[in-house]
Amino acid sequence: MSLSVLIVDDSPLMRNLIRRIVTLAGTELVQCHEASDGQRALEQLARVPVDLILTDINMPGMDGEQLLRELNRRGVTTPAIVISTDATHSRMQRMLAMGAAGYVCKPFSPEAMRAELDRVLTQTKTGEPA
Amino acid sequence: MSRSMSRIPVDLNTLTRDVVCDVLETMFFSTAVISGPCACPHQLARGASLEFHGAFAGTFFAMLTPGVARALAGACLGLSDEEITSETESQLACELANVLCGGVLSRLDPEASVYLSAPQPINGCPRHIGWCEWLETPEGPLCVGLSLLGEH
Repeated sequence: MSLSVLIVDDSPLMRNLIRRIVTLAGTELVQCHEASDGQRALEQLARVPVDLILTDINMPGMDGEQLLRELNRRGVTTPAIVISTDATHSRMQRMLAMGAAGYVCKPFSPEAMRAELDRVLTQTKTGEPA
Repeated sequence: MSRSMSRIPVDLNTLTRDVVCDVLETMFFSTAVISGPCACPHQLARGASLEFHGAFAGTFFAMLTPGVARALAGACLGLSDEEITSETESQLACELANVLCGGVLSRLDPEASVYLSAPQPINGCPRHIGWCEWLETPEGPLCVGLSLLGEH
């Protein structure tokens, strides 16, 4: 099985780190696409459909929260996992209420990231609500 | 309304050490111990600062040597020393400052809404910083500091 992932983060280092975790830990053949903000992510999604979106919240331009809102407005159902330094309960609840399928707090271990990714993908396959 | 440092009922040194250790161990497979107040030596040539606003408002920074930046970048990205550029070191400093700042502010108040700006590279410890701490990692020194609005 192959998996197509869009990584949205303004930090090239974080994009590299997430790509490394996603591609090295799994058994699937993973194709990673990258965007440095929400607007570029939307442009990527218009060109290439993906199975999963991994997005930061704090980004210059269109941030992760605005991206989720726009995905909802456009009826995009691709599951999105939010990755953020913001560990507050209120922010997590807000992002999940906006349709995020998962939430990973920085700092994260490769194992924690991979576990959340697997959880969301399994949930998506079985059709369970997020 | 933003809160000032004097109204924060925590030991900032302990809290910061815990956050630095947590971040280094979880993402960079390293650790750190506090060794004292920052003396702002010139060898800390890689750094980044960012501003935050919301329940807390102010500035946060992290400074480290190029050697520490290289070691941490290599550890998390699985790169050899030859593959790490000065740009990677700078990106590491920015991301480290971002994650440390988020961690410190989240632990100051887990329910406080705080928004972080994008980290910017800096070349030296910022002047007029309210509080800073010098830490030692196995790879070399690291300095972190923060100022809360209204402290000066």
